[in-house]
Order: sequence, then C-alpha cells, then structure tokens
Amino acid sequence: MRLGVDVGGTFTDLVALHDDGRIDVRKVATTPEDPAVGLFRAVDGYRSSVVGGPVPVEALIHGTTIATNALLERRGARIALVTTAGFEDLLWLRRQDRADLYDLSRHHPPPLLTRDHVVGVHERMGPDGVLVELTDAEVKRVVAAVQTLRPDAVAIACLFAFRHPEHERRLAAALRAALLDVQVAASCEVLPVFREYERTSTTTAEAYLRPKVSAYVARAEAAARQRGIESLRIMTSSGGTMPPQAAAIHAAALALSGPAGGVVGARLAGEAVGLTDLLTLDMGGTSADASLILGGGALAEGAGVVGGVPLALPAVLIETVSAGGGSIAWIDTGGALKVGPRSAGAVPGPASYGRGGTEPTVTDACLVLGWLDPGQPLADDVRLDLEAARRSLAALGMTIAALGMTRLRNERAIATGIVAVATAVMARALKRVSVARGVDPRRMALLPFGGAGPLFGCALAEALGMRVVVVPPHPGALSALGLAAAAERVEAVASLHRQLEAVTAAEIEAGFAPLVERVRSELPGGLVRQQADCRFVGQGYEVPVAVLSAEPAIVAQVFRAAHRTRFGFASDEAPIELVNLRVVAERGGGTPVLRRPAAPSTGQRPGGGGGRREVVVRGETVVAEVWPLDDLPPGVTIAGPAILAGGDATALVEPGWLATAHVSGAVVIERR
Amino acid sequence: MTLDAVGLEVMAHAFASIAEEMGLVLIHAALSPNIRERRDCSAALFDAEGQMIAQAAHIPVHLGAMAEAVAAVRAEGAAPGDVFLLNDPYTGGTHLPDLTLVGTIALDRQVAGYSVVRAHHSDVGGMQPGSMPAGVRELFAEGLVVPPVRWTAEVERLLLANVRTPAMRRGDLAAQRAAVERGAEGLRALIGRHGWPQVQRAARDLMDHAERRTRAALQRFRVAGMSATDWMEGDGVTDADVAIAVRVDIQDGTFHADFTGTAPAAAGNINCPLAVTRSAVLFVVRTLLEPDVPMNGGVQRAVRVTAPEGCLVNARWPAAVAAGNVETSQRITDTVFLALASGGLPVPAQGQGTMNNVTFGGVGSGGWGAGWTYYETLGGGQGAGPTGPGPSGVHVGMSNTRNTPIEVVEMELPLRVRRYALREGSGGAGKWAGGDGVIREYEALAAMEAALLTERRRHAPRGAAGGSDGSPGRNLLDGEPLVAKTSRALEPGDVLRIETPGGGGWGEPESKGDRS
Repeated sequence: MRLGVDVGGTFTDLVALHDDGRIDVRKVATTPEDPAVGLFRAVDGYRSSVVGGPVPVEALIHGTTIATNALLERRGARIALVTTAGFEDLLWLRRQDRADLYDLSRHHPPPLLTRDHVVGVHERMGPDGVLVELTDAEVKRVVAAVQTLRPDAVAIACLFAFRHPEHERRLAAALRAALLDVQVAASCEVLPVFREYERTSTTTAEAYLRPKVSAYVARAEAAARQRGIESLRIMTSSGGTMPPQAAAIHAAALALSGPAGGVVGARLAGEAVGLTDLLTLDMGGTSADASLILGGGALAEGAGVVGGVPLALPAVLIETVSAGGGSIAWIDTGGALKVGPRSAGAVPGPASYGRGGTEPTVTDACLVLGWLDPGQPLADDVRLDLEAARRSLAALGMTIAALGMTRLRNERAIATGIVAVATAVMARALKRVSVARGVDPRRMALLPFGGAGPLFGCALAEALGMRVVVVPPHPGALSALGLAAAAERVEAVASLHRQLEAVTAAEIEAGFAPLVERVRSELPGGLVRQQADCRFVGQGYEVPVAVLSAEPAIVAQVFRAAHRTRFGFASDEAPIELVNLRVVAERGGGTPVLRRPAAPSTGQRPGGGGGRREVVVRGETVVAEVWPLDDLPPGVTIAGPAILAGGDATALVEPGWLATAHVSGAVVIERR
Repeated sequence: MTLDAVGLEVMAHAFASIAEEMGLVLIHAALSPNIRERRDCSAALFDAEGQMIAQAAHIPVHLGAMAEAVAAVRAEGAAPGDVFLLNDPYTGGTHLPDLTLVGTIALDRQVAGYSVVRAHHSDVGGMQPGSMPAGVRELFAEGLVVPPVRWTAEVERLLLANVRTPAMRRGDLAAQRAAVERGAEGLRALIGRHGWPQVQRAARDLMDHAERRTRAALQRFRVAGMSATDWMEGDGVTDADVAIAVRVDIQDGTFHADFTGTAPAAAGNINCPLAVTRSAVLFVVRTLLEPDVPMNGGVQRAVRVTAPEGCLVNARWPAAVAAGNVETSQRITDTVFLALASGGLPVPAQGQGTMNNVTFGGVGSGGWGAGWTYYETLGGGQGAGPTGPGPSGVHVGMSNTRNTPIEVVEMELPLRVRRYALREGSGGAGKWAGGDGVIREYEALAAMEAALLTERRRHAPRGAAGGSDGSPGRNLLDGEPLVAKTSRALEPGDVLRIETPGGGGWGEPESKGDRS
C-alpha cells in the first residue's frame, strides 16, 4: 500500500492506493503552524481505521506547500548572495521588462534579499575560462564579508559558472568551512545552465528555502520512522518524488509540489480509461489551474515564476486563472458581469457558507442552480445556505438594474450568467495551454478535477469543441492520488553549448557519462533516460528531445520531428545547437491499475439514481437524476441531465451528454 | 443596447481568445528571434466595417495602429477570402520592417471581418542590414515599400528577391499567414455557434461597452488647454533639437491631442505617420483606464488625434520613418504625459523616454563568420508617480522587450560585458524618487562598427509636481562622450559605456517641508 498526502490551504487529503488498485480517501483539517501535524494525523487516522490492523506502508509520498508559501509570504531565511563584482545588481535588473504594460507605477516583487546583502567577488570567468583570477586573499575577504552579514544561508552565483565552476567551488568550500551552521548553495550545483539572471534567481531561492525545507523534511522523516514508515518521499515541481535527504538540498524544486501532484493524478486517471492526450483543469477555491498531458506524459518546463521569483527548474506546466468556487462576481463600470480576480477564499467564504460573506461567488451560483445540494454538508461540515446565496445574487441583480443594463430576470438568470462567465474564463486558459504548444483541443479529452471542476466539464468541453470529459475517481483528492502513484525521480543537467554539426557522438557520450553515473548512484535501479535541450541557432528557447543514440545526425532528426510536432514546422537547412544535456532516472512508476471494489458499498440502484431534482442548465430548468459519484456500478450509463454527487466533488452531466462509469472509478462523459 | 451583462463578458472572452490564439500561433511558428523572443508583433480581429473587435498586442507600439491597414485594404476593394500584404507607412503601415498581412474573412461570399497580423521583420532590404539605418533622408533607402497588394506567390518572390534573409522572411510570413487563417477560422467557428447577426451585434455592443468605460474614465478629468513641448535630440542628419508640441483637451469623455506647433517633418528618419502618433496617444489613454477595459475600436472612439499635415508626427510621403516608430513614439508619449501633468492629472513624471538602441556589426574576423550584426535595447528609469517611486532598470513607454543574457552575448559575439548595473542616484529626487537608469559597458574583442540611436542625452526626463529631473543618459567611448545618434568604428580593447537616463521624481521631497 502507498499513501499520498497532499496538504492544501484548508484540507489535508490522504489517498491510500492498494496493490490491487483500490483507493481509500481521508480528509483532515490542515494545520498551518506545522503542516506535518495534519499530515500524520491523516496517516494515523487512516491506519487505525483499516480493518485488520495497520497494513505495511510501502511508501508515504507527500505534497507540500512549505516552499511555495515561504516564497509567497516572503518567510524564508535571511540570506547573502556572493556574485561576480560588477554584476551585483543582476537580481534587481531582472530581464528589463516592466511589471505591467500600462500600470506604470507597478514594481516587480522584490528579490529575496536586500541589496546590502550582496557581496561582489573580484573574479571573472568568460566563455573560454578565467579572465580574472580568484586569489586566495579575495576568497578570505569574501568569507569575512559574508560573516559580518550573519546570514542563515548563502547563495553563490558567478558568471559562466555553469561552464567553469572552479571559482564557485572554491568559494563554496571556503564558506562551508568557515560558516559551519550555514547552508551554502552554489549555482553550479543548483542549476548549471546558462542565462545568468534565471540561474542566480534560482540559486537565491534555493538558499532562501533550504533551512526551512530541510528542517521540515527532517521532522517529517523522523515522525514517519517512529511509525515504522521507512520510505517518505517528497513531491517536486516536475511531478517526480525525492527522498527527504535529497529534498533538503533541492528546496527550490519543491516550489510547485502541490499542483504537480494533481497533474500526475490526472495522468493516472486518464491512463486508467485509455486516454493519454488530456487537457486538465483543477478548480479550487480561489483559482483554476489548466495543464496539458501529451502522449501520457505531463509537460515539465522550466522558467516558472513563484511569488515573483523566477525558478528555472523543471516544473509541470500550469496556467492559472482566477475562477474558483470562491471567486466573486461583480459588475464593471461599463455594465459587464465579471468573475474574479477577487475571491472570498475559505473565510469568509461564499455567501452560502454563512461565515459572514455577502458577495455572490461561483459556489453560490452553483447552489442556486441546483447543482449543489444544500442538504449535503461539505467536507468541513459547512452546510450551504440557499437563502443566503439567493440574497447575494439578488443584491447583484439590483446593481445591474441600477446601471440600466438589460435586466437579468431573477436569481437563476444571474447565477446562469456567473457560471457562463466563469466557463469563458477557464475555456480561454485551456485554449492558451494547448494552442501555445501547437495542440488542437478538439483532439483531446478534458479532465476536470478539484471540488467544483466536474460541474463545468461539459460546458468547457462544448466551448472548446471537445467530445470527451473524464471525471476522475475522487476528483477532490486527485492530487493525493497522484502523489500515491508518483515515481521516484532524480535529474541531472549539464551545459553543452555546441552546434550539432561541430560535435561528435563521442563528445556527446562523454557529456552524458558523469550525469548518468550521478543519477545511478542517487537512485540505484532506476530507469535512466537521456535528453538533450536543442534549438535552431538563433532561437531563444529549447525543445527537449530524447537521446537514444548520441549520433549528432540522429539527434538532429529527432529534434526536427519534435519541433515540427510542437510548432508545426522545422527547417531542414537551419543549423541546430545543443544547449544542455539532461539525464532523468525514475524508479517505482509501475503503479497498479485503478479499480473500484467489486461490490459497491452503498448498494446498486439499477433503475436510476438516488432521486431526482430540478436543476438549471444554460437557463433551462430540467429534472436531473441524482447518482452517487463515488459508488457508481461499473458499466452503468447515465444520460444527462444528471448530477453525480460525491463526497468531495459533484459532477454535472449536461443534456446531450452520456456518462459511463468505468471500472477504475472514473466516469467518462461523451457527447451524444 | 442588446447584449446583457453576461453576454458582454462571455463574448469579450470569446473574441479576445481568438486574437490571443492568433498571436500564439504567430509567436510559436515564426522563425526569427525578433518575433519569437522579443515579441515585436501583434494580432487583431476587425469587423466587416473595419472596426477593431479585439487585439493581442505584445508591445504597446502596435496598440490600435492597425485600423489604418484595414482601411487601406478596404479602399483597394478587398474581396472575401483575399489576403493583402502591406508595409507602406503612407497607406496603412508604420515603418517598413512592420510587414502586415490583412485577411478578409469570407462567410457565404460576404466579408464577415478582417484578420490582421503585424510583425517586425529583421530585414526588408534597403541600404543597411536590419533595415533600420540611422540618418537616412529617404524612405526608399530604408527598404522595399509595399503598398496594399494581394499576397500571391509572385508578390512573395518579388519581396524575397529584395531582402537579405529570404528564408527567414519566408518562414515568418508563413507563420503570419497561419495566424491570419487561425483568426478567420476562429471567427467562423464563433459565427457557427451563435449565428452571424448575434456575433455582429456582440461586436458592436462590445465596442460600445469599451467606449462607455473609456468615456467614464475620462469623465473624471475635465481639463482643457493642457499643453507641453518636448524635443527630439537630432534626427540623425543634424544634431539640432526637433520640437514636438501638443495641446490636450479632455472634455465630455473625449481625449483630444492636437500637435499644432510641432516641427515640420525632419530630413532624417525620425518622422511618424499619423498611425504611429495615434498609438502613442492611445498608450497614454490606456494607462488612465482600468486594466480590464477590453482593447477594441470603442476605446479609440473616445480619442481624437490631430496634427498638421507634413509635420514630424503626421509626415507625408516620402519622408523617412524608420526611427519614428522606436524613438519619436517615445517622445510623443512623454510630451502628452507632460501636458497631462501640467493639468494636474495623476500621471507619472517622465521616464527614460528612449529605447537606447545599440547595434554592433562586423565582418569575418576571429572566427565569427562572414558578417554579423547584433542589436539590443536597454531599460532605464521609469518616472515616479503620485502613488510611489518609479521602477528602475525597465523599458518604459512604447517598448517592453527583454534583454539578452550576458552569457549569451559573450558566447556568441566578439563582445565582453564588463559591467551591468543600476545607475545609482540617476532617478530624480522627490517625495517619490524616479527609477534609476542602467549602466552597460561593452568591450570590443574584434574590430567592429557600433551604431547608437539614443535620446535623452541632453534633455533630462522631467520631474513632476515639484520632483527633480532624472539624469540624462550618457554614451562614452573609452571615456569620451559621444552624441545621441552616431556610428563609430571600434578596435579590439575599445570600451563603449552606455548610461541610460533615470526617471523624473514626483512631488517635493518631504524633508523640505519638515525644515520649514
């Protein structure tokens, strides 16, 4: 049995994935002061509830927001940056583009340290090696200068260290020797690739996060050991997992740990029903995240930004828009109905939560339309107050009327409008993630998850011309499922900046060799894959291609094919260059095929669902069958309109769509 | 009014999504770095009457400047399904490197709208590689002039025969063509879902909506007779100042900028067709609006731009224009902001007001190939505003392109960057300080030519509401000052240092008040 535990803002979700493909789900409240408390509360609670005593846990895989929150709230370590003299301002110069095209007073979020914590070093590497020697006296001076700053951690990032790391290594060794309790992160270790701004920024983030992250994972590991769980692993931004010792020195690689779990879970759910090209949408309380899975693989790309800090480490592709359940609906000065970006969050929450919120949200609209059942409490024992939702919508209706706009007849019409606008916002994000990668959404299936995502599946698919929607098992806990299923993964990268026609197969092999050795020692028995980041000469970004043969002509061929798939063209004459070599090792990805238990726990209802109720779909009031999402008998087909109500999520099957329950617990909804 | 509050927003997203998709197709299919990385391009959708429904503008200099292109194509009697190419600044274009494709969207043999894609091509022929020569007196020396013509295989052959990098141009134009097609497909799909009359009505309502919101924002200001004058520092032919004068009246929700008093068109190539001037004014208006006002033809209805025929900012054929787009457009926004500040509007002080265009080029020595050119622009200080200090080291105004990493410059070119830093203290003092400029120091490692096209080297970015001016920029060759626009031969070891201007400060420094 493998356990996945995802710590979110409100809930900590646990999914137990059994060897026969069965799934159990538990939810506990998140403990923000120390997320590990909630983590182990979920683990202990689940294990003690298992009939027949605690089952051995093969692995406990954890998705954490500890790095994300430290960046967003700027609550990391006090750090110093050591960098080449003459370039101390790099983090403030960024890439010289401004924060907003039209808001001229907007500043970029500040770097993670103040300018007086930067120490310039008299040294300089160029493309071909040393330009200015680093003297021993200078090393001494730098160490002393850093010591007077009394940092918790130090980042070192010098020009061209990705190719010539000698100066950085000497500085790191001297600093580590002199500052015993201080973590030191050098750019040649963290991210040895070119582009000095992104490398420096990433290295700074690593130093900033490392003390907090390493303490947290050490605590979590000790707690796991106490419980006899030997294999704790942490989810990284790229959708792979790391043991605690590795996570402690790859703190910046955890920045998107949370969303990565969801994308891995989506991949698994898609695989279970035989679909490998998916657009995914995670609709949460404040926002919706769109992502893309192609050929059964989640897209991992670099150059993400978290809390205004560029991180050039591999991360799953995420496009976030402000359309969540708590997003607030309002009217602009020109009379258009808007949804977001303001959100009611969990507190005060939507008007229907009865916690003091009065502004109408997407959740309130769904309730008024009959999509959610006021009789069924939410996971945190919130009972939805239909009257409060109606009142909030009526108030918005008054504002609309006061502006002299065409009157929306009643609360249902306003609610219909709110979900239509939220759908339009999310459809646009899904279009962006697909079109930007040369993918036509019409050939894909849509996999909506999160508590509210499956309510919008059919409407989004229709807006994008898609014909298939996959509702995964336990849509509200899909991230935890992804964690439980995720493979161990280590990655090594090195810069090899050469034109393909000027490099030999032997040189490429020699470049890969130390990387392969490193990942083999870090992850014995792992499946090793070699990749090269290539581009046409003159291009500013790279396409990763699999390297099965180091023969440059074959690499070129594979690159052209990959480029053509992604961008629709590839020149046969234009010269190609290698930029980086990457080696990835993965272990333990062979997860069981998801399978619902043979006998549904709440009894079969072959003739229909758990009753009927009136719902409003696109302005029309229709009578929908209500079925239990978490207990659908495999093979049963349900024609829309229907509501599939689960413990942590609800799906809407719109008229004209047909849902089929799959043996995996997923529901496949197809256009009729 | 026919669309309700919901329809407005849903259709706004639908139209914006089509323009966005066109832009993405272009950026991902284009070959040249200028389009792919610097994103010097934009895409827009127009209705059958030639009014803009939605635009994906990646840099402000293209903002709302494509209506002229559609008008020029309509004047040629475009038939449904035709695709036109143009770059003539005097019939729908801006400057010659901006090649614009206008597709007429066919629906049942009628024109349903126009799909327009503009991109800056890194060469369109003319006397100098890059087609952005300094100090040129004639449009014809800047490159091949293309009036609105149907885009056929013959026209493509003619065009490619006149440019230095035909393969790259062919690739970029194919990408533009694909983006135009995507726009047409998108509009047809939308019509398929909602019906032609509904889509037409939605477009009209959306423009009305944007106009309403623009006018509502402008109603907050009722100021007449705000005027200002500012100067270009030479036209590349002579070093003499060239005046830009503006009078702005904001009345009854209309923004009127009149450039009477502006110098006549210059001998050099810093002139602008009125389309460029209009974009620059529109940029200023856009900064006064709420960020979610959709960008369409409705915004422009609330903006009037007039200028005497034949003046610098409303030049007539065949005045040369290459630098008008990059530098004069900056000064136009500066001048308009200055006018607004004089009327007490809450606008920022002037920013660096230049893109600091730096070009290096050489011939095959030291293993760098048969010939090479390298072009970059540098950020500087933004002006401070009533709400806070100006950002430092950023592009201001009509540009927003990213820098080239030092490690890339040094790996690919015979150049070494000796220093890259903020120019501390260059922002003007004030209650809020202006943003600081940038210092970038290059050392030549081989013999080469360096060309500078810069501004604000003698007229400082002005402070506002009592704030001090920012420091003007400086160009230094081995420590010796150079003029704003010049070309120099460099020998190995020569050091070119560019110090970009700081932004103006805003408001009296508070310490003064404390002392009294």
